[in-house]
Amino acid sequence: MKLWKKLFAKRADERQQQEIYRVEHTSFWITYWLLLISIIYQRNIKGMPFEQIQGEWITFMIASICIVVGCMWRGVWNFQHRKVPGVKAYLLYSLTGGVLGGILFGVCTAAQNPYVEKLSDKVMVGLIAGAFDGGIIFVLCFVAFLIVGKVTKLREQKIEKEMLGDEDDE
Amino acid sequence: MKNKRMKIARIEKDLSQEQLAEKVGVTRQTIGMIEAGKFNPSLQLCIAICRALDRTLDGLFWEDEEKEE
Repeated sequence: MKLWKKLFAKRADERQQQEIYRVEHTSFWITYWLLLISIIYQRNIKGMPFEQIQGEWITFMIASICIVVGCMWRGVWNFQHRKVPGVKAYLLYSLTGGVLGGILFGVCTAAQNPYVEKLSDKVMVGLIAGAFDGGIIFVLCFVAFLIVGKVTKLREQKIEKEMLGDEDDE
Repeated sequence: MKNKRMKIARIEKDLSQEQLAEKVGVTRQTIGMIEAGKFNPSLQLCIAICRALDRTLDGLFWEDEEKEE
């Protein structure tokens, strides 16, 4: 424990720490989105079996859970919001995810389906698969946003109450 | 915005950026960046600098609104 503390004790001053946080922030998001693109490319375009990408998938899920839980616990949403947004925003986010996911899965299914040869049939298969997958993504995203939003709001209120309590004590 | 008052106070105290940095526990670059107005220090660091230079927060870091604009 002592060795751990010695090795990882923060010796950088506050400006250096801010610079490091900025670099880490940018690097994290670049890695995160590249990982997602890599998973989609390998799974949906190259058609690789899940076993071959499970390491990347687990890493991606851990990163996602860490960032969601971390923000939820501190009662913050993102850089663009001072307060946790409402249902309208969740609908918009989920719709965006659903449409993008629907297009991606629709195109991939149509392009890779070995049983359909005619272009019109491929388009139809793509539309059906896209609508189905897009719909599922929309519903899942919306439910996830509702839950995460609700918990984040509760944490935000709890922290606010604690701070008010501290103010009263003084 | 450059913090000339901090630079003047430091020179009056006969301290180099390196010495002031040592006193308040930061790097010389950080002091240089505060003086150049490229880094906004925390209140904690502002207080440490004020103590090291025997000045008040107002004296070193307060800017009139007109000047800021």
